[in-house]
Amino acid sequence: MKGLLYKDLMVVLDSARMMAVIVVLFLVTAMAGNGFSMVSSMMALLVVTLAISSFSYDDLAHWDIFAATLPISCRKLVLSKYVFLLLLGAGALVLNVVLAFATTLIAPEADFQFQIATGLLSTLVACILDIAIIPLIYKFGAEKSRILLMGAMALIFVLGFGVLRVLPALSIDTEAISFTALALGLIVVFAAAFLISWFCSVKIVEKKEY
Amino acid sequence: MDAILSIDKLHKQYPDFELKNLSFTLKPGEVMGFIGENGAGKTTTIKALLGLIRSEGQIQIFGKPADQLSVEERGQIGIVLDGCHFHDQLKIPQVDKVLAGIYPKWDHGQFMKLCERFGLPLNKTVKSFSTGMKMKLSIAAALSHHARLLILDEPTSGLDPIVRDEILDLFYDFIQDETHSILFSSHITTDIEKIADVVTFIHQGALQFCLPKDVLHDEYGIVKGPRSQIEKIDRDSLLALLPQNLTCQGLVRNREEIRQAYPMLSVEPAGLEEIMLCMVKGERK
Repeated sequence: MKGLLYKDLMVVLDSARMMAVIVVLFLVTAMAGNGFSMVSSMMALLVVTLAISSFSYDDLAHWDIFAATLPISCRKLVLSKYVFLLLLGAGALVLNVVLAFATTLIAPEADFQFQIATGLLSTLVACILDIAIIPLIYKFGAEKSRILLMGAMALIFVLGFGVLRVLPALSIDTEAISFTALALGLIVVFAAAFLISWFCSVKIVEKKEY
Repeated sequence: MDAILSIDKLHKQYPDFELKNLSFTLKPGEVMGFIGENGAGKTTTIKALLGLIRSEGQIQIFGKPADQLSVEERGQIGIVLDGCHFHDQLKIPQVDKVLAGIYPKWDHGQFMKLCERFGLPLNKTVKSFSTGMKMKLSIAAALSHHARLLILDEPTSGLDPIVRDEILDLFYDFIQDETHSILFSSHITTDIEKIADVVTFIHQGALQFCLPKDVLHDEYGIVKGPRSQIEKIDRDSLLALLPQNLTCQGLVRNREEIRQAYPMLSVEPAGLEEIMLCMVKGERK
């Protein structure tokens, strides 16, 4: 699996360089005081999207057919993509911490804890999005799935917005939901989505003919 | 000696193509040339061998069912599929690291030696490689993890004669170890003539023959003459008849007997290309 992770890292490096430029732009935007949460969310989304890019590069190289002949089980082959996503998620978190530090250095009044919390939640949501899309990529290919990713993002946005509108109607005070509860909830969703998605992906790849 | 690869009644049905109960055996120390026209079923057979498609029939590799091979055993199969499957962004040292992290017995020294022998640049990305260089890279990778069996799907197609010759030399070196075997699929019959010990020929998904190359060279022949004369050859000997502009060409099994029995006909040894042409385009007897 080490080889597969190294391969994914190397092939997305070009995109990552471009992303570094975007991150710097975000940093400047954040310092200009245009809203840390927006910057943090976009950065998390961009970083974990590199996992989707790795599938596109695999498609271009027709890597999948070759990978299926390698001395590595189908489960490990699929798992490597999820581990890569987790590594990118960890990377996005580190970037968010750096961004939070930078912001509080420039603007001492900024709430460091809030910024870290926003970064964590953004990264979790971005990872859940990718986790949802990976089985679809295995089924339909990376390019078609990019459109599905847009759809999934729109769906999550609408659902989130809907929940925020519905909860007050049910006399639930959204302000009372603590960060810890929200983060724990997202971690549970993340873990469940991870297992279901990995299981589905393995089944799809096992049935695949090349 | 136990077969390194054996397939028995391999069958695969597609809507517009059928691989019909293919059976053959590859022994250690042998190079099998796997020939057939485009679309004959060579790639389908190789995909079935490698588990890339589901099929019926039995496939055994190293004496075990192919789907029960351990990771170590799968690592002893060197595979070159049609084209290069390494990403455009990678350079040779990176390909080396990727494969070192996948193959249990990856040989870094051997890989770099082969890349050097092939003149592959270490500091350029795969994107800048020519078709020949990409194929050389795939072959270098297949030969760098202590494989016992090489499965090669059209490894020399699209390459110039000089590169093809270099690659065939490498396969010669590989086969010097008598525990090694090669299944070499190609429609370039000259390459098969150079390297194969056994020739397996399929046409429209069906096995036509699986014979030692020496038998084909020693016994098969092309007879040329008037159709009326060639048609007199008995059915057991005359395998196919290919009408040409003014005369006719026939493929026969026992060349010397035919030469003696029909002195008025010209009888020449049959090359693989002529055998393929007669059997694919000719009238089968």
